[in-house]
Amino acid sequence: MEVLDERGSLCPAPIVALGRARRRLPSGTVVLLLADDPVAGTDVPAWCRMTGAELLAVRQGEGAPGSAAADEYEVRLP
Amino acid sequence: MVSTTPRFLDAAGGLPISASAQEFLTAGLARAWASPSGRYGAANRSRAVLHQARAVAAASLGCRPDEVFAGPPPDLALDLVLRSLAEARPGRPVAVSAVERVAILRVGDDLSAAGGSVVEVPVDGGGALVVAGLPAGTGVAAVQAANRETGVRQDLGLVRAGLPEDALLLVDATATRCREDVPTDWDAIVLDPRQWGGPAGLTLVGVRTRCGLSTRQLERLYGDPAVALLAAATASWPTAEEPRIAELAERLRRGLVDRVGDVELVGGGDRLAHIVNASLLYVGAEELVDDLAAAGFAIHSGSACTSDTRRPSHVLTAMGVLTGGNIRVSLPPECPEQDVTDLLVDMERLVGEQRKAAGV
Repeated sequence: MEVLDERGSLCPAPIVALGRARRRLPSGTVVLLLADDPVAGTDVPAWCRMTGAELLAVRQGEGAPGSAAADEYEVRLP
Repeated sequence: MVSTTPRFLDAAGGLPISASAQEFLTAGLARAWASPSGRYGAANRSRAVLHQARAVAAASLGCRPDEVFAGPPPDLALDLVLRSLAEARPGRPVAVSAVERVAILRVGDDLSAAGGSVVEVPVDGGGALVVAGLPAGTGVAAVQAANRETGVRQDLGLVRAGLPEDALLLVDATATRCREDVPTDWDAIVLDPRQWGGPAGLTLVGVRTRCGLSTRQLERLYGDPAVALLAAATASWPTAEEPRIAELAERLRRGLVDRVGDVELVGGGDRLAHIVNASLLYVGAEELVDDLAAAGFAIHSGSACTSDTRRPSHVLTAMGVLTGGNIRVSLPPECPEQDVTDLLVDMERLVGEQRKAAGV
């Protein structure tokens, strides 16, 4: 699976990574986005809705409370 | 387009005081400086000005003059009123919409922490309250007339129909700016004169007798009323929005979709005419807002990067819309068409540059 490692980057970078992947990869490719930007929790689903992508899974990262551990977003590109 | 003339497109953040409000304020300060509770000439004059201001406000709010108050600035007024209403319905659930102002949500948090039942009622993707989410037996509900970020108006008739007959409804109308946008079905209501170029420092507050608030509770609100401020606020309150404002806003929306692209227009259904809210894909709002400010355009954003708290607007997250690249453009009453034309030109350029640099 293609991994987009956006740990440590802030909005709009994680969404830009998805947008660039969409340009680069064939329709239907599944990518795994790693992001610790808390805003990604709202914006990744929004990106999927806006582009017709499918959000397959979201796994919340583990870490101390208050720390931004990476979350994982499995997305099927439109 | 390079311009040194500042274009103010953040009306919802508050307008500068209008010429007419300033005239009324100056006259009011000269005439109504004395405390209305005195028993001498100057005090009688203050009392007369106060009565007149309350009567004018009452006619537009749909209540009696003695149900109109001059409150403190919006956050404090909303806080005081909601707490007072909750005290009037002890033991009953309090419902607040998920898109209420932070001051309201904080009262909800406090009441909840003190053991009360507080429900934050969700909204749908367009921003409309999910009325079915109101808890049974709701004693107090806080639901805004319209949202200051998105302009989305709530259907208060539907809300009322979903509430018990004895529930008290607090309507935050601080985003509205003309009399015709004011709902008349409320038990308490708060308005912000800064929205229409009235003086800062007070709110117009309505509290119906049926709320059963004590004199002590009401005195928290108004104490010794700021007569001149109240008079200037009610006298400068316009009746209606010009139709051209709605057309201009619609032109801006179309331009964002057709020319800027990859955009989510935020807020469905019935909206206040002057507010346009949109989220742009692949755009950093902080950079965009700062670049537009350098080009002379004052606009607002609900994105995390433009906020002091580094968190996105709770209104946007409650609606499930894209929070990145968010802009709110709100048109002042006599907004020149050229300002919208020029804004679109600059936005197309700046957004294009950001997206090209990002490779999307």
